[in-house]
Amino acid sequence: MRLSIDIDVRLQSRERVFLLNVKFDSIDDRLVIFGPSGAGKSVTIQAIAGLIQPTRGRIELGGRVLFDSAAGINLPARERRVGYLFQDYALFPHLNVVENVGYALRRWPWPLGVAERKRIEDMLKLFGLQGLANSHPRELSGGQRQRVALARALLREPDVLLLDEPFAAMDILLRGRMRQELTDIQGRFGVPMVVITHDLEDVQALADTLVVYDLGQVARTIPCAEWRRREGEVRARELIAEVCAGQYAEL
Amino acid sequence: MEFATLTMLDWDPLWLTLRVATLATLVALVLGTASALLFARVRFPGRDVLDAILTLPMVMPPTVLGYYLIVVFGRNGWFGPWLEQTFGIHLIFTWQGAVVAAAIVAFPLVFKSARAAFENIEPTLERAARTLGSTEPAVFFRVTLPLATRGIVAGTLLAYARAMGEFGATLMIAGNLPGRTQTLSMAVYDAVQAGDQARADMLVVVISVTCVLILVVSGRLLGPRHH
Repeated sequence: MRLSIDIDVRLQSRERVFLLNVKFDSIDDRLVIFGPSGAGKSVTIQAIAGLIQPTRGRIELGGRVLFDSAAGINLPARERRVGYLFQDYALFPHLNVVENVGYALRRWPWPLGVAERKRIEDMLKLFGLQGLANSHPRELSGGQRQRVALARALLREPDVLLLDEPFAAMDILLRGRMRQELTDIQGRFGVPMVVITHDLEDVQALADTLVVYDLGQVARTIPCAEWRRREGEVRARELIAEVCAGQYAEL
Repeated sequence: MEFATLTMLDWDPLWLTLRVATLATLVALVLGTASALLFARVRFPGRDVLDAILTLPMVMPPTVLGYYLIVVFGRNGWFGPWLEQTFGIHLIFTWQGAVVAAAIVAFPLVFKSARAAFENIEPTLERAARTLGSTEPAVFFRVTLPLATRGIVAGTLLAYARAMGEFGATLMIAGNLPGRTQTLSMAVYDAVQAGDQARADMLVVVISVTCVLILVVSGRLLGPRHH
């Protein structure tokens, strides 16, 4: 899936003004945006999802124009068909696991239909959540919460999955396991994903294309998949590590 | 206190109080929730001043409030003649006037707690609902309102208790006409003035029990979340 981004975003808070000016293009299904906190990674995927409006530019995803300031196009978030995994998962605290996962399927104010319930049930099985159907988010562990959030986003069959620091809130053991799970799920659903992170391990495990951010700009774009093919897995790991470490060294 | 008085008691003030308090609370609920949402979500010039004005009924002496009501809705007031000609509504010395007075003193209680409830909602939850395909009304009814319900209901119960006990502003605008505008709190005042202690005792018990019930329920709703 092709993702083309060329946007300016201006965010103003009481203390400071943040300017983002990024441009990149990717045809890989696994894109990672890497950079230190405050580099504008999160702002970028929020702009893709339609949660923030860029001041200027264009966002195109798989042939659909989501935003184009020149043409006056700005699809609302609900029409962009993106799955968004929030850093704290943003599970609805008043809804149980079934209602959370099935949120997008329910044609409110009508209740869930039989066919929808079946789809939710299948999804819960796939994610190993079937025993937790009636639990509420606060009763779940971190890993379970992430599974619920993933299932909820994927059930809508999005064109792309956007993940905001998906493993930042987890301990190191769980991180490794959930990284593997995410890779499996991505392969199984064939859904393209954009992951933002400041963790080198995420880059190594999840990036086919790597976009390195610095101070609201794209510092480098690295074709990781190509490097792995050309240089071999081990050498590519080293090179990618150098690029990422270099990014921090410059700060 | 003799229980014989129970049967002899004139129940008009109780029914009138319940009717006035219920209508006033409904008005306060709708207007309080709507303005709470506006204040929690929209920044506009003069917001702080308007916030202070809307909260004023909570801190102002009820008699002052009642005086304002007479100035605004009285026969020679700003809107009095208009109300009378257009809708045929008289607010002075009528139970409808008592509803207006009680609604105004009850309003800030709904407004304050509903506003806090809306402001406490994690914005990412609403954003998540949008990315999951919800329109703005669906976001409000499926996410925002359910999450704010507890605070709104608690504020509404307090508003009901406040409306039931309203005295000063009501006396100013609706007077104290037995059988027409005499609510429980007025009836207590009358009973004491007339030296009818038995009647005052009964009325006081009815009011106290109702208010304690309301406070217990709203305390439950405002306390830590139980499921």
